[in-house]
Amino acid sequence: MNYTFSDPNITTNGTFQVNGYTIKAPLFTPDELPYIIASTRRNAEMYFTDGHNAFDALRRSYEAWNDAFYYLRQQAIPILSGLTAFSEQTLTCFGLEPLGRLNFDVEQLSKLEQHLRHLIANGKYRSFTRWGNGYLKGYGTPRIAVFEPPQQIVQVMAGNVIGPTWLSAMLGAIAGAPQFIKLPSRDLASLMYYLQTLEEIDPAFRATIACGYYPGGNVVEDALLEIPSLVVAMGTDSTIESIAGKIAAVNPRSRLIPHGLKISFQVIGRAYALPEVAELVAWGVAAYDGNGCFSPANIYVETGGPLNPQQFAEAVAEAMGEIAAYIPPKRSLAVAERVTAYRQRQAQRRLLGERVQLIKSPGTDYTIIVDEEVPLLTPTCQERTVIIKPVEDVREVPGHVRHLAGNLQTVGLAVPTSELLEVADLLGEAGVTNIKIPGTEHTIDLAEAHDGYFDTVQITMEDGLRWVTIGFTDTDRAIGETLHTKNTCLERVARQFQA
Amino acid sequence: MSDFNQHLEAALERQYQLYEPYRTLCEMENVGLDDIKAMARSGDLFAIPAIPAEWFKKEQSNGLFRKLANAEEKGGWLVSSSTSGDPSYTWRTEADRQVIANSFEWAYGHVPAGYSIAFSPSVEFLTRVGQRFAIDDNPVVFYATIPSAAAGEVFNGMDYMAELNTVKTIWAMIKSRGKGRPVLELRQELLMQRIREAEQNGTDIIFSASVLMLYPTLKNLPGTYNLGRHAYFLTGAGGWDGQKGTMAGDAIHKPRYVREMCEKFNVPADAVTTNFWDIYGTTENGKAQPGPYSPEHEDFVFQVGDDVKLYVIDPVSGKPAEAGETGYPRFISPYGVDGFAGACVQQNDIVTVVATNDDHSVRQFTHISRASGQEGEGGVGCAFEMVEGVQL
Repeated sequence: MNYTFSDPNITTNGTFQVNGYTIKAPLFTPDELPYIIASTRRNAEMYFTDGHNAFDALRRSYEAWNDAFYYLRQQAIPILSGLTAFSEQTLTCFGLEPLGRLNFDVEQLSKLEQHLRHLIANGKYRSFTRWGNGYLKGYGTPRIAVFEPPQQIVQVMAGNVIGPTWLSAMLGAIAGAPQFIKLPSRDLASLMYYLQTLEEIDPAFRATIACGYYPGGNVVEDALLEIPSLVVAMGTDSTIESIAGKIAAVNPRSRLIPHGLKISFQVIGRAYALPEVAELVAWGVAAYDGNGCFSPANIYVETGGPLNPQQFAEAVAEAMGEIAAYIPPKRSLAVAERVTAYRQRQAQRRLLGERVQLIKSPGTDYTIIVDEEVPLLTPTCQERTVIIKPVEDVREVPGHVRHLAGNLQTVGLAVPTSELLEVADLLGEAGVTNIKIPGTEHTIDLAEAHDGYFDTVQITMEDGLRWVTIGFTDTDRAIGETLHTKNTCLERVARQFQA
Repeated sequence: MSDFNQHLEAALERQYQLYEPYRTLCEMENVGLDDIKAMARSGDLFAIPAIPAEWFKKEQSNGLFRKLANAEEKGGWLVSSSTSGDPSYTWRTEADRQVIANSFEWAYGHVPAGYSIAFSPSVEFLTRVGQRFAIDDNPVVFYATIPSAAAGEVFNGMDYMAELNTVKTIWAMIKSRGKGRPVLELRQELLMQRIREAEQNGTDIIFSASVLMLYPTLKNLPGTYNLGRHAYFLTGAGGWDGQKGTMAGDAIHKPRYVREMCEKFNVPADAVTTNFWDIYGTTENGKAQPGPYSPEHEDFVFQVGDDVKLYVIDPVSGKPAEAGETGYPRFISPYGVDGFAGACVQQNDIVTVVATNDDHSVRQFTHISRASGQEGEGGVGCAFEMVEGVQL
């Protein structure tokens, strides 16, 4: 099967073989690069000086993909499933629908920078203050630096999850600048599908973006960076280091917004060691099969609750089995080999006398480790695999995660509302940046500090603080709402895919 | 109940009682001794908890291999060739080693008992090398010596093509201050002599052992030879990916290998399915699975003997794979496991099932590759993960 994608600013296509598909995708080549840059810049100059409505185009494009009957969505989902091995249900439920629920409040976003400046000016950033649906606090010492809007934006995308990368187009709209986006080798197609939608809605805006692939370490990157750029790079730490090195060598006037390796986890207070919270834990783990930077890898469960950690793990396993029946994980040999190796390693620990339990499905639907031996936060093999770690007090958790402070990101937190700010503050001090109710880690809110800063503000301002957001104010209410969202999603998927 | 199942039931009961780690594994799988015995009796063998072959690796097992050995039995360590750099250690009794030898003798019986040209060092040399793998005061046997010695029993005559060059080895040792490796040299003249004799006498000649040594050597011989149907190729112990133990070379494309050998020795095209064989066998499994070349599969199609049941477990579903499907080979046998917990072992390879028996056990399989997924710390995209390598 062959699929061809095109870009208005790139004429060369590369041919890629992926899982039995032949993909023809735009290719940045050194020879064509001067034309690509000139064309994209010209298109951006024309569009952004002409009373554009890019935000409306973005909103409409996300809404289109949230419509189950949208023709491109119907066309793309089976193909993206074949290319990425994510099930069609996963792509539907976790990849697209959260985008449709995106809080695209341009007015709020436009006030964000002003709000942050206000908090810094009056010192209120030092404690949690109300923000959006929850709270906001800054850690560190403020050091405001203001920048001119960038001449261009260069984005290096990661392909571990599908959907969030689609927000990339927004940065150009905010900055009013041309964008050059590098497709990840693991996902050459999904962003191209989205850009096709943008082309249909607002072709002039689409033309301000050049999106294609080039191999890592290619001279294309050097040439792109000769123009002062805002560089947004996702990927492994080595990818980020490589790009940072290039910026330093080629054009120190460029700025890098790095998004390196991240690890996320959940913290469940004893009052919430409940079957319904176990369902939300499972929901958070199942999202994108645990492949996201926001995906919880470890679940800290406080002992002394209605379910002990072992019982809680069994409840999570039961919920994950149910989710897998509606939203299957990847069915791929490569994934199964990783899971098998990981399970063997964990079982081996048990056989050597460590206090480790292994609860697993016959195939690779889920893997749950109960680890009473190593409280430190540890990565897993992903693929719907988590480690449940009992703690006597949730306040111990910061001590168990601090060794990865620079890599910490999202926490799914369920503690009594009366303890929320205290525990959140301890976690914030340890390095986490985004605190949400379990089961919502994968959802996107532009008003949250997923990496300790706000993408939309970073374009023109840095404040030296690491911001931490909490996405809710009332634990019980947030749990109720998330359970409703989860159940609604499962029902919808069941209707759509069984039909 | 068949003898095999009866013997298996007894072997599994013994394994369960002798080895605490196996009991723990069964407990983790929610399987008790009665369940295991029932599985053995009923023939639902694929559900028997299997020990991963990695748990016999010296380093990777973190010492677990010792707990899977019955050192109370008179025997010694059987050590693998250490392709991964981390050899397997299994405790084998004399009787266990005889089972391995018998299995290889059976496998060798698929080609005529001609004159064997073994592309390997001699048994004596391998025995000496094996001593370098001693980990305690117990005897050590290099696994490769058993198939090699069995070949000596089966074939009418046998020469080992790799010979130690003592002078060069001593010099290498001096230069590297004792850290050098033995220098092996090919017995080229003897090889040519044996080929000429077979050509003149019309006798069967079996080119055997390591394909990593066999293929480049034979391919680079000058000219062609009229051995015809008398030329047999009986490789074993892997190496097709270019790696085997301390040997390294280029990956070998099997159809090209068969074609070039046919051209070199004038083997008729219709003889490729009778004259080209490979043997799959591992230290932990200890059974030989011989396979003739199949042009249809462009690979060898291995056959499972009567002394073992093979299930290929599809890791995606956790169920036994059917013909055309892939998974991990899980070998189940009550024979040759008196000294270790080896009655049900899952290899860290991926194979494709060609044909199954009525009980879903595998009769033939092909396309062997090393399973990936071994751990290291890294990430994919922006998410931390335990993976072998890091990719974007």
